[in-house]
Amino acid sequence: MNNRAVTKNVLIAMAILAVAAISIWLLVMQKPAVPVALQDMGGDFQLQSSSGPVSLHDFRGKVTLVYFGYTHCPDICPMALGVMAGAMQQVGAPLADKVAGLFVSVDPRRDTPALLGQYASFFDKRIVGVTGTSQQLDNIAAGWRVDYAVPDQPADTNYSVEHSTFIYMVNPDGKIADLFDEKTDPAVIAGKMRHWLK
Amino acid sequence: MIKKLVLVMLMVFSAQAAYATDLVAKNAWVRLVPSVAQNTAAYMLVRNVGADDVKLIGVTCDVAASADLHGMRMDDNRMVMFPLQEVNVPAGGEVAFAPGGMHMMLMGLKHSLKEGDVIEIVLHVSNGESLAVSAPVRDMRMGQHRQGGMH
Repeated sequence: MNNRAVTKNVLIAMAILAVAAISIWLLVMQKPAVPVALQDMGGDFQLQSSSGPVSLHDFRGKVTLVYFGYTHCPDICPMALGVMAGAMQQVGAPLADKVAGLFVSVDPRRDTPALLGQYASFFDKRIVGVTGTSQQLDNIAAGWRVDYAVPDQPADTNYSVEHSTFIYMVNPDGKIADLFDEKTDPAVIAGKMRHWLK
Repeated sequence: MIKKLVLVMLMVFSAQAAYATDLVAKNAWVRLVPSVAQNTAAYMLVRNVGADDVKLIGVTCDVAASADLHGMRMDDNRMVMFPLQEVNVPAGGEVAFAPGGMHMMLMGLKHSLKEGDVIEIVLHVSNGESLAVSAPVRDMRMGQHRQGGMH
């Protein structure tokens, strides 16, 4: 091997190393991080859907939008679910099976799993409607900082449920990574969802 | 003499009463909700072209068992809705019923709505008059929520 060949090989090796180093650096720099303020929020749970139990960990590997509301809600809940559906659709076809949605009803007295299935899938077939017992919902609300109050009234009366209006974005590891609401542009949410699916 | 008296009475009456006919409703629509949903909301811009304030005291709609003028506020992070006994539409001014704010809540839908259905919303005014407004049902999925909104 002459000197020129050695130099050439060394240069090629250096070039490969440089490309690898830059790639790793880019990967590290681009990996989105969970904001510190959200690191203590959230947690796994299991609730009932129209087709059986659904757990948050069933959605590992996907980016999942989660909303807490109720079906008698005439304004904010359908707005939020419309935004979620819009965002999920704007993520695009190649990642269509990497996005999911969960609509958690905090009003189990009126919202049965069967009803929630039909209600949620109207917005997007990938949005699953779930609910549980008041005790289960209270436990989830504590971890997820959901603030809500269901009045003590019979199921056949037209009461309003006060509730917080966050759309939670859960990353592929099951951690809350961002918060939006019904006023957020679906395109912005879609962009943030795509970040976690790189 | 009687004619004159009637005229004076008419003038006095018209100076005090605020007519529903002074109201003009624009951009009215009803939100398409899943067929299993019991409730939905109607939205519109109500303008008062008259010289006197007009008080809306209620709303009715024949596809809903009941309907309310509804307010909305945020208590910290919590969204709170509440019925409004009356909504004042100031002379020469306008009031917006819009997504995420004041709206007309239609409760106990008698049948499921379809996009393009036209729903009649009747606004009731404090002097006993009413104003019928035609509101098409709109499908606001796919993030089209900004239409007719107040953002």
